[in-house]
Amino acid sequence: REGPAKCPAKLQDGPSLRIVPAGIESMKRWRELAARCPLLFEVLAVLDSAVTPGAQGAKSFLLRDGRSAVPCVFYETDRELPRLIRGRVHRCVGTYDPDRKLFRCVSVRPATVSEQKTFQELVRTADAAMSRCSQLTGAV
Amino acid sequence: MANSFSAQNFIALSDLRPNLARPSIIGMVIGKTDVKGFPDRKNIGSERYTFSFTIRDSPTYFINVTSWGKEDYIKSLSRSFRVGECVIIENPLVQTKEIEKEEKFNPTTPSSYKLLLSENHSVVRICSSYQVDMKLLSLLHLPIRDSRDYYSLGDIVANGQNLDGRIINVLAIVRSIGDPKYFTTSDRRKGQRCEVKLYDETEPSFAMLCWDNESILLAQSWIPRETVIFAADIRINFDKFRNCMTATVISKTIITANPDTPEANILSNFARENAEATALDDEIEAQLKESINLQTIVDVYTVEQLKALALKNEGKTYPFYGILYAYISTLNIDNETVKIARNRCSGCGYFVSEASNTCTSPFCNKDSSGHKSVFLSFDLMIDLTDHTGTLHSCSLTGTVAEETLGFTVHEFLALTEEQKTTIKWQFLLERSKIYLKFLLSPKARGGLRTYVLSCKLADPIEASRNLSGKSNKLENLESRY
Repeated sequence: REGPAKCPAKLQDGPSLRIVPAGIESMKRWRELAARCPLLFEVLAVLDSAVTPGAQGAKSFLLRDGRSAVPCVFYETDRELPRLIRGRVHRCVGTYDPDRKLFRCVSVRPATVSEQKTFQELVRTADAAMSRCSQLTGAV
Repeated sequence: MANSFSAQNFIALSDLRPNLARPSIIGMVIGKTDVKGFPDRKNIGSERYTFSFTIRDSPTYFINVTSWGKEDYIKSLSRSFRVGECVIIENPLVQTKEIEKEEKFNPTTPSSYKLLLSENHSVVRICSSYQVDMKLLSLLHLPIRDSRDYYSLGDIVANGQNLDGRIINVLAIVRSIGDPKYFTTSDRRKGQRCEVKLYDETEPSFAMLCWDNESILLAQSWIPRETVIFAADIRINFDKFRNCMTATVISKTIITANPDTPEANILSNFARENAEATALDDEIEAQLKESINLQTIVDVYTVEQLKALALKNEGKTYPFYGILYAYISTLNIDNETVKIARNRCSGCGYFVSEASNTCTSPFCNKDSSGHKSVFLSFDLMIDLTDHTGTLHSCSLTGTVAEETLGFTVHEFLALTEEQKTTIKWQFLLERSKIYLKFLLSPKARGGLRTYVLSCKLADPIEASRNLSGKSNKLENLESRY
């Protein structure tokens, strides 16, 4: 398959799902660069809004790390969103929708202290692996 | 039977003579050595390769066959068949054998000749087993020595160090087959070792060591507590380290699995009667071993590295172990339509079909009524994902699944769907530390069968330290396998 698939060609079964620890900006960047690769992102960021209910069990909120922010949505399909506290760091896993510029979270919970301490190191490791992968197809 | 191959259509091994024009022979492969390379004296800098095998076409006759040639030819020829298969050889070179030289490292045969295969002149064809005449197939269950000419394990132990270094015949039941271990010798050659435990009426456990790939492969086809073996010309040693006698498979050894002899039948009945008791012993032993094993598993991989490794080692069947720091990305435990537990047979441990609820495994020893008790066991397939990709369908079963989820299978099944969902989200998409056993398998998706040995939420500090580690574990592994 030609095009911007960002996985090594030798992985015969096509690009498989990756879960990438990322900052808000790098999440947007990887989503764009690895357009055909199924990606979930793990983001640690501060809740910077109230959590507001919407249609079909949607709960919306805003996450912020440094200067970047992203609107998020969580659908309460099989369980309720736990109580989130504005100003605290939360760990969210989900997909990024570049058209709506929306982070669709499937797992949201407060981040532990040791997760906060180690997260940047994990982001660096994932960044390096994703860059290497992009270089293999010459797309970066 | 137009397509069936029988020995009648070919020259009998006993009739082979050096001056025959283009003889064609057929026989069952009853022994085989690993491929070896030697420096070519005529062609300095290059290597010649060789391997040997032994074929049999009658109860009384078998002969050694040796092939020499270029690496590609020898390796592909060796790969093309295994012990227990039937081969047709066209136009081998029949040579008189120098008994002393020949039989030092090759099986002792009744023939005064040996056969040489060359790439240019000879052809080897492999017959599929359904085309082979029953008379030929039955030779696989006939020991190459008199069926009474063996030592019981108790006799070996009783003789003790008097038998050190002796080459004898052994008849015993396979108790367990260890995982092959791989290593590099001080002179940088790669080696492997596999320990098979034997038992009989006289000894509960006796170690048999395999040091070559062919015998290790053969051992993997045996069934613990069921297969009886007649090992002809096996070497007995006194193991100073363990202070006990052991047996070692050597290049002269020919092993007949499930011999069709009165002595082997008695042993087979003994195995059947005691299967349950030894199974219980072995299960306890295996659990103890598994907990030790976890501590010896230290290599950390990414999914990408594991997939690359599976591609590189295609065709090999050795298990290997590793640690993955990854997220469980599929965990179907709260969906009524997905089965998460199945019955296993208490006799053999195999999953039991739901319709009959009795063990239909051909390997299971059933009692007279044909019924075995069954026990319920988790049987989950999970996907594991990290920043480099996903390993699909990793098997999470039995007590490992119970420890992972924190519930016994019965406790878990009694939970409400809501409770199951809550438990699911304690693990789903959370970073976990997972100990895994991998089997390279061409049939499996991605060429890899993956078994979870332990799965716990990861300590973030430990995970980030290991994931950002500078050492390239993949290179370490490649140099080892």
